[in-house]
Amino acid sequence: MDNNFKSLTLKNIKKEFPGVLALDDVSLEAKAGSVHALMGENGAGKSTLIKILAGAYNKDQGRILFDDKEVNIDNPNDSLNLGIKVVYQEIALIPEFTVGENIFLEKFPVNSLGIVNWKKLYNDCNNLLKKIGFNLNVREKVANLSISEQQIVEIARAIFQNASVVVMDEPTSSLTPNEIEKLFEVIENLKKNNIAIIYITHKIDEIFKIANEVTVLRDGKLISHRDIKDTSEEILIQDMVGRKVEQKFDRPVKSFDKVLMNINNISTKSKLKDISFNLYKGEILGFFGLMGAGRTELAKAIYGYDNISNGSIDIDGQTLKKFNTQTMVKNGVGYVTEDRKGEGIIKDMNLRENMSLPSLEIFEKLFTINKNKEKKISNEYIDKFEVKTPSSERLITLLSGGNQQKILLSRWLIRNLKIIILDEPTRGVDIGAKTEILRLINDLAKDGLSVILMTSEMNDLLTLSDRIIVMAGGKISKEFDRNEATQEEIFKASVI
Amino acid sequence: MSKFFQKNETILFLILLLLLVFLSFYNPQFYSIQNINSILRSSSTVMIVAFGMTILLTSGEVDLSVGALLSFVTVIVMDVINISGSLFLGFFSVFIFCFLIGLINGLVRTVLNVNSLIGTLAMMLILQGSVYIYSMAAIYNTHLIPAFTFIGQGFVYNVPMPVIIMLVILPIFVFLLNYTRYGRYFTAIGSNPFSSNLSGINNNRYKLIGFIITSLLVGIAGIILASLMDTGQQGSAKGFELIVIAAVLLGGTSFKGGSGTILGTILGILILKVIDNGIILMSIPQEFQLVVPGVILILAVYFDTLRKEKNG
Amino acid sequence: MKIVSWFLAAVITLSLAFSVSANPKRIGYIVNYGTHEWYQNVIFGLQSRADELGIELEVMDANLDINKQTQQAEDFMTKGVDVLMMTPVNEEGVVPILRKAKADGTPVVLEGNPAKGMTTLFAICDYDAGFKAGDAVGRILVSRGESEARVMDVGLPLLSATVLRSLGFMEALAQHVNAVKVHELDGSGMIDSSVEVASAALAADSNINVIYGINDGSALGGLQAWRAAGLPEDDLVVAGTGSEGLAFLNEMTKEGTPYLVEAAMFPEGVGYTGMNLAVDLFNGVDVPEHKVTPTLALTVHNFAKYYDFDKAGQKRAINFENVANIPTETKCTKYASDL
Repeated sequence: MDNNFKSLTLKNIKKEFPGVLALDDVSLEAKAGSVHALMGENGAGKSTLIKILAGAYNKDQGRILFDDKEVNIDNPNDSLNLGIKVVYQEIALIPEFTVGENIFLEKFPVNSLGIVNWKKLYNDCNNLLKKIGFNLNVREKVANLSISEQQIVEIARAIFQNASVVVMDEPTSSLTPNEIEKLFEVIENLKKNNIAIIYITHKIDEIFKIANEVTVLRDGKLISHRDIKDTSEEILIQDMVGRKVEQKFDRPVKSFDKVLMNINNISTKSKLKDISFNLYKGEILGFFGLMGAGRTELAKAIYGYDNISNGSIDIDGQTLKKFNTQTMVKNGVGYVTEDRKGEGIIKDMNLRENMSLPSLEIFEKLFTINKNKEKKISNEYIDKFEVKTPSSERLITLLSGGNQQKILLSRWLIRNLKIIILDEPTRGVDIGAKTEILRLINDLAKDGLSVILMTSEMNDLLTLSDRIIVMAGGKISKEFDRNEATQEEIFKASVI
Repeated sequence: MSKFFQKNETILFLILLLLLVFLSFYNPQFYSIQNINSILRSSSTVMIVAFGMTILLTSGEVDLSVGALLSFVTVIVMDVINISGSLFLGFFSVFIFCFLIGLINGLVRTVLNVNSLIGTLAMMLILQGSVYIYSMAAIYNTHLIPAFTFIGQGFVYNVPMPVIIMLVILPIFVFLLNYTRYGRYFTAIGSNPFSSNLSGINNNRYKLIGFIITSLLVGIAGIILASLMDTGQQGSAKGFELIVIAAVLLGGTSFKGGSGTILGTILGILILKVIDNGIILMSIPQEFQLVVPGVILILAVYFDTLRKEKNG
Repeated sequence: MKIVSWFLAAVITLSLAFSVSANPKRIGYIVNYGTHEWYQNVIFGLQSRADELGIELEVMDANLDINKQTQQAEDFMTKGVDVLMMTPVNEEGVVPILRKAKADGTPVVLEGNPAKGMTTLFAICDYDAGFKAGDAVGRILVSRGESEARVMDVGLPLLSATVLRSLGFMEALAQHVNAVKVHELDGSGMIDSSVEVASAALAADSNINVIYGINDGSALGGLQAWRAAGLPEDDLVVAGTGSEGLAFLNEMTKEGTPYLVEAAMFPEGVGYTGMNLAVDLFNGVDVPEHKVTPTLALTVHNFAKYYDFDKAGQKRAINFENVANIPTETKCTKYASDL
């Protein structure tokens, strides 16, 4: 371990993606023997910053200083050589190897013949774990460990690799309170060993337990950097959400009377616990929740993509207990995924074919698809939503994210739809297309379509939703009406 | 018609043309009507099964049991007609049997969730073994019904009967894949099964249908083969499944699903069969009948990957 | 060529066997590929003779797997069979088995292929079988007034045994007419592959008047390709090899068929001879290194002497006595080593 290490400093970092300024003049200093917490909403720029540190992205502007000496991080190797170790949420260990083998993976202790000295390996490993204050059977297979123990192994690996800076990305998201306590003890020991820690979390209470200082990002900008003594929960929430509602849509407060769908006590095996709500005709029902709150899981459960273990759904007076996506599509429900590339577009198809996929029977004449009609209607939507494409016959992969999203929305609008579930409809979409998509959602609701809108964009949520349901830990934590919701209240409900 | 002439088909067409020119220089007999008939006849059984395989591969599945089933079908059809003296009963039992095999292949894939590469490999072994349980000895034509002989060996206006049968089936599949919604569904399921399910398509239902269609087509090809051999022969059609799959892949269908055309498949088969024919005509050692298509297949798939990467 | 009556040999063997009256009680036979029609008929011959002698015969199938064959041989030795008979999966692979059997004191009889360290072998002569068919076809051509044989040889060039058959066929043919091999094909010994290669060959040159197949599947495949090409059958002569099963009988008994000659190898007779050889070996009778089993060119005129063919029931019954009366070579004219 490099005991002379004092600090790693990021100065005026700028990173731009097409249409999005992900980081705008952000600075951060990680000091040895100290925990620097990094906070912000989804999409605030935290992961971009980490990826620059890890060498996965290259910064556009700015400097990185290692003990006041400027360094370059062009690739993951540079980052590792500097002693920066990122512990991601997804564990990257080899499950069938033992704790010791995983920790010493890059550098097994060998004799001159190249034969591994197992005794030395496991002894060293024990000493290493002792150093960070953790007891673990070093000969145990990693597959048999709990998630928190696996995270400890990752951290131990970082220390074995002489890490000076350990970055932890939401390390407690899947841990029990007991395990969290253990992790905190390990972090305390890391501090004693002169390691700098960058700690990313949504959970405000954790910050006050372990962090020395905290930086808040919002929309890629540095909002605040404070010593932990000089801040409070209220101040942090203010920093994270404190932005003006920018875009007003013509959406007056009104009450709805016709219930279109009842969700009754829905649970799933993996995440959701006892979720109930109503959806009115012509309403935009917003859902907010931080990473891991269970929003996408809820969307997929309602839509029949994931099986529910309990509960039922009433649509138009009929009660559904077992249903799949076919049932839902037949009942006039549509779904636009948050994972456009993985679950949305069909890469081998053109715009027209992507658009008409769920509604081919509309275009059918005696078993044959009437391609002229199909072209006509898809061109109508291409014009209506100003999709930038020379023709409906272009492969969808050749379009930008925003234009792909418009096609995926049109996929449902060409058919007779009652309810549309939109999961992060503006994710990865440039500002121009974003505004268009939001206006479109507003217009659809005005025409009587019910919209379930799941988004992390507080601004979109507040300007469009007639009601807002906040989720946390797979449950509904609070429900707001349009006129009573504020950013602070919503955020508070989401960090419970 | 967009799917009918994509770049891949053009390349295949050029390869085929090149082969034809080369072979005709080498051997003027190449363009004799007998030789063309011989190539087309031996292509037709492969083509008939490949139509189904194109659908399966397009939807991201594969059926390795077609060769073993083909051989089993020759035994069943010959035996049942021998015993009953009825062509109808012979064909009927073949199609019932093939339907069941396709259904089992499909259910193993969709209900038991076994990868079709493994599930149909197992089916191949089961069929290869059980055909000997059905009958240890080859079954010879003792019914001597002329109509049966005509199926594999007959001609209509100089065109071999198997080719005519293939030509009758061909438009059905061109139509199915290009002009109906089912063609779209198979492509969508193979290209992005999550997306197609989220679009309200029952992936499993169509996969099941794909397996059944393929097996039924094997039934037709098996009847032709039995007539051509005049025998129900266990262990015949060795490596048939590999020729079919190689031809479909050569035709531009992706092994990962999502893209496939009947025209490409037809061109793929013709290329392989013309090479076969050339090797026999040129008296090249016939071991090359396996080597050359292997090399061509690797090249074709490689070029296809290049082309796709270029398209983004 | 010195010819010894196979039947006489059998009688002498029999009388010897009875005089010593110490027949083996249990014999084990490991076939290399039991699903093939040929071997089913070999087993039938073995069983028939074993039943006559009151010997208990047990058969195992190695299914072309030498490891399996080795295991099965050990099983038989453990069981304590009096004689071990086997058709080697490959010549080298059985050498350790032979060594082990020698140490164990179990006499071994091989069928088909010789191997290093073997005591005795019973097998047909491939060259001579082909030669007899070629001779018969030559005579037919001469009787038709033809002076040239243009041959399509549906062969299997990878195997020395089948190359010997083709060679014998052509050399015999050349004694009668001007014999030209127009096509030398690889039909893989399978009817479907044979149809395919023969179709291509006939398209290139169909000026053929003789089709020879190294087994029944090859001959039938060649004939089916001829038919599928719509060619006239009047001047054609087809000869097959093996008399493996019912194929040649079905075809030969059809009205107007060009399938006129079968180089019969009588697999049932092979088995019958082999069983006698095993008994001899057990009794310490002096056995030849290679016991040649009978072959003969069969035509529609003489097959009934050897096979009782029930066409409706799709069965054939061999006449062991008549087969035993066929004059047999003491030694093959040509072996694989002569190629």
